[in-house]
Amino acid sequence: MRDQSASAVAAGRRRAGNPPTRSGGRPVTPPARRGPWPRRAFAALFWLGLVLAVLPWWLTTPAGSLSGTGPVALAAGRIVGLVAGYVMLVQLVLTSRLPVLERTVGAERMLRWHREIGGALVVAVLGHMALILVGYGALDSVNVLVEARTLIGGFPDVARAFLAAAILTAVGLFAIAAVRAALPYELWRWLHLSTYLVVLLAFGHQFSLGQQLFRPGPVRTGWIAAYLLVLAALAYGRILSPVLFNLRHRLRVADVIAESPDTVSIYLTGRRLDRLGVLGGQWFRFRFLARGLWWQSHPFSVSAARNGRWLRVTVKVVGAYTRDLRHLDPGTRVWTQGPSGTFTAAHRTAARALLIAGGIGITPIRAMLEELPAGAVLVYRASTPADVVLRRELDWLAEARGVDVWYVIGSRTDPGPRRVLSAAGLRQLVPDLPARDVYLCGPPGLVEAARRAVRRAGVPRRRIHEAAFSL
Amino acid sequence: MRRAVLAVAGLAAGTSLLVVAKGGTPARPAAVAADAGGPVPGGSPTPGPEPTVAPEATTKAPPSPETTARPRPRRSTQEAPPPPPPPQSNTVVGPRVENPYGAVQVVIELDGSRIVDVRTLEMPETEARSQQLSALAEPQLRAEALREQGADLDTVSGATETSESYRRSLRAAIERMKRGERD
Repeated sequence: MRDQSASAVAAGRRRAGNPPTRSGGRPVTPPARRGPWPRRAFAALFWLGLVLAVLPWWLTTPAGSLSGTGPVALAAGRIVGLVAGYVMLVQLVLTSRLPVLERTVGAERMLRWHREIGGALVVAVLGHMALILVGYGALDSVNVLVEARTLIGGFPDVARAFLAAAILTAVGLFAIAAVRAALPYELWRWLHLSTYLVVLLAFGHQFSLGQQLFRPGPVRTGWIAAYLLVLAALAYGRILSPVLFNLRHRLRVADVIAESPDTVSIYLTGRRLDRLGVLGGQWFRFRFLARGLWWQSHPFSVSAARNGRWLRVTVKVVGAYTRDLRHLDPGTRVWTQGPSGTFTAAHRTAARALLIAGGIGITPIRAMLEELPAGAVLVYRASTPADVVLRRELDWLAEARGVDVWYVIGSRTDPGPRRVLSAAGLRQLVPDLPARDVYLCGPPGLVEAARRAVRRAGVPRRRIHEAAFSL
Repeated sequence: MRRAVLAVAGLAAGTSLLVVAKGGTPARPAAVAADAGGPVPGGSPTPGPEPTVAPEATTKAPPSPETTARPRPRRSTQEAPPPPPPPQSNTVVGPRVENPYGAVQVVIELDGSRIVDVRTLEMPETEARSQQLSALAEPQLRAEALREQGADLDTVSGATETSESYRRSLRAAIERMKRGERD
């Protein structure tokens, strides 16, 4: 195996070396496992809420009362409307950045759900509109457009709801991957913020005209309580919690070190970092309060495990923003939010792990290696030897924590890397692969290919952990 | 993306299922609605030209002398000829007219033979939209009825059915008024 890919594999395993002095070299016991139950509880709550949202309709609609186009379309429109109203609240919860959800359910997973649900929500809202218009149109014996004009003209709340639907649809169109790729990220972010306006505009018509909500009673009260809860979650997750965090820790840039020609490590210090419960593989949202940078917030994984004294992120220079990060002055304040993420040693399901990193995707894995139980295997893909970062630390970790580190260097079309990253190649490298957790972090193409390979090699889906951000 | 499609499909399927479950066999006909029909007009057996008038209202209503054991005050004046009985009140209740959204029943208040007010005993409000429309339409219909002193009212846009029912109930009430009936 090793002979075969000798041209591609630049280095073998367990190289002895002096531990880098910067890394806190004390042995770390693996963190206690955090099972999948928070995620399952969250999913169960979601379904329970969905049932509760539709239940009032079920209870107030007499059996056999639906016949004819009008009543049937209205009933369907009301169900879809209740679901859409509920899902909109769920969408807000998913992006509320509640610390407990970010760390247990996982920010990346919630963001993925938010995207997937978002598309369905747009369709649901349009369906709700269409069904209600068809329903009332049939009852009034007028066509849908006349009915729309009547409702918009007669009810200001409906006019606002139409506007909300228009904004939501526009945002939905911009969210289509191809369109969004053409937009600058910040522009997309501001566009997306207009969905808060959607929530505001759509609020009124649910309560003034919602068949299940317009009368005072437990249903209306419960619905309003749900809105208040979500509002509280948003206020806590987006405002109060970050303010408390930054008051407590007051992070500042301590130093910026070049790791390679296009990679820098930023060291951050602050107060009470011993109380900062961050796990290797987790990340923070950073806002560097320096000229030209303060208006952007970016997520970066920590690239070293917690040591109570400093935090470190390692960043590859890929654009204007990351280029400016190289020139950060020591002392610059950093508005920080986190930690987030479930890509950690605590979320392991087995005793040992295989980690596959690509390029700068090594950073969360580098931090995690300090916390994983001994016996882990790391496959580090890089196009050229110059793209290998934190090499000295990895070699030291190989020695100190009993990690097999394989550097796989070369283009993805080279026979060596292709062979290593196939199902057969990985099984040869790691015979007990199906019994291991697999952690993947790197460019989307590599992560996708590696996931397919390990799935084919017999690793169950629940054992595959992906870091969603290509940092 | 695939999950978004699944979610939409699931929503469509779930909604259809719920609607079908509730749409099955009609449990009871509309008689229920008529039972809960609010105050019964105490007037003549045939005030409503409409078939939609609740049947109970017409059957219960007429005070039939044959079945009334107690002598009523009106009987005592029966021998005294022509002068019509003085109106007991200055209100006339219209019939209850149903439409797909509910029912309308108006009461007119008179000063002599002049309509000074039109109130509604019932307007469609089982549905949120109807309730809002009723609130919107009633003042317009009332104002026009008072101005016109008749039942020839314009339809309030968006409230076609309610306007129509209002017109019918009002027209019947006015006809009763002209016949000298009072409630």
